[in-house]
Amino acid sequence: MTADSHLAETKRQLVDDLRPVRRLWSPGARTALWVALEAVMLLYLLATRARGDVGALLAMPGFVLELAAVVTASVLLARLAFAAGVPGHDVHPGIRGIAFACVALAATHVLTRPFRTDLSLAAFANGAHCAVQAGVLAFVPWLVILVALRRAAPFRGALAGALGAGAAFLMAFAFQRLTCPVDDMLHLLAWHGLPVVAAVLVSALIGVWWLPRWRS
Amino acid sequence: MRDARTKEAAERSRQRSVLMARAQSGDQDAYRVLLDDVAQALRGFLRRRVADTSEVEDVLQDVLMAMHRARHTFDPMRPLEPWLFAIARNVTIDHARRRASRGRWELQVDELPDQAGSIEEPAAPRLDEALAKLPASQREAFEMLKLEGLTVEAAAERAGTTAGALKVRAHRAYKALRAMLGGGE
Repeated sequence: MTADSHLAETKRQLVDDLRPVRRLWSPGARTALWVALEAVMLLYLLATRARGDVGALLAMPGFVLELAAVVTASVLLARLAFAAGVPGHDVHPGIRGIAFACVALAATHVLTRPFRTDLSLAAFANGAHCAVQAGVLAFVPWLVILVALRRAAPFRGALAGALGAGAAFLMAFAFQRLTCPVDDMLHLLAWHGLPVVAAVLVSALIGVWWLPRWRS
Repeated sequence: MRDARTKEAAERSRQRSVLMARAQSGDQDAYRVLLDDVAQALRGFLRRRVADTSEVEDVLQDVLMAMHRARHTFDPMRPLEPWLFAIARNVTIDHARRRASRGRWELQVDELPDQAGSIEEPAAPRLDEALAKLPASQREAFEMLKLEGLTVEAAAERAGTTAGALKVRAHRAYKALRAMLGGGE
């Protein structure tokens, strides 16, 4: 069998295999839906679990800037994740830069929070509760992105997975700033920030294993 | 002259998008025309990017299969080429990675040994050894169709894929096995 006949056979089989497909929504539309889901979650959290001083906090420019930076980074990462599922759907390189600048800005603000060394068991239990809550708040939006990516055609599964987790867990970080009453830097870094990093790593691994399966 | 060529390219691009949109709706005739058209364009693209020219046709088939599986992600409001060549670029990168990874396991020697490890004539590899060298998806397709005797449909269902895709895997497995076991074309 020659190379030409192999190619002809492959083309014939692909034509035979052709079935109508449901077109994927654009990355922009998917991002908008995802943001809508997050907005619903935020409204529910504000109605049921907002910290007592949330009004005063929202009057502080530094806090608002941190929150806006995290939310912006989260939405941009979601947009990048959805775009990673569509071949050739290039996003302006500046978007990535803006997302990382937003994360850096928020991290800088967190690093200026008061630092109190509290190594008591109660502080540890409180922190562990926050870490679990980060996972709970991020789980559905994270899953939505992964399933949406799985339905798409990502070539770089690790990157797509990492971006998806980054988006979901950064949004959870922002939500937790409105619900968790602790403003201690160590608490924020260890129990709110580390889950974001851990989730990005885990999601990248899941992405390597699960997301490129559309090709087989 | 240049304007005419630009217009011609734009028109061809528009036609490809239309053909792909029809293929997304299940139009096999449009898909056949599109595959013939893009295979030509892709071959030129791959010849410039695949180091071993003997592998261009294999990579081309991989690109067409990837394009087939990703066809639902194409937006007909956009030109086809960025989507298509992004697929081709990524498949080429994967191919190069696999090739580099294979190369790491091959031992290069400066001098041939004086005496072979065995004085017996090297035997042709056995089927199970050859099967073990196949990619898992191709091995599975071959085993289900030829060793277990399943129908294409049953095998495709078990593998969680379509009948067409399974046939392509099996076809590639036969080709690789023939090469490994020394069979003719």
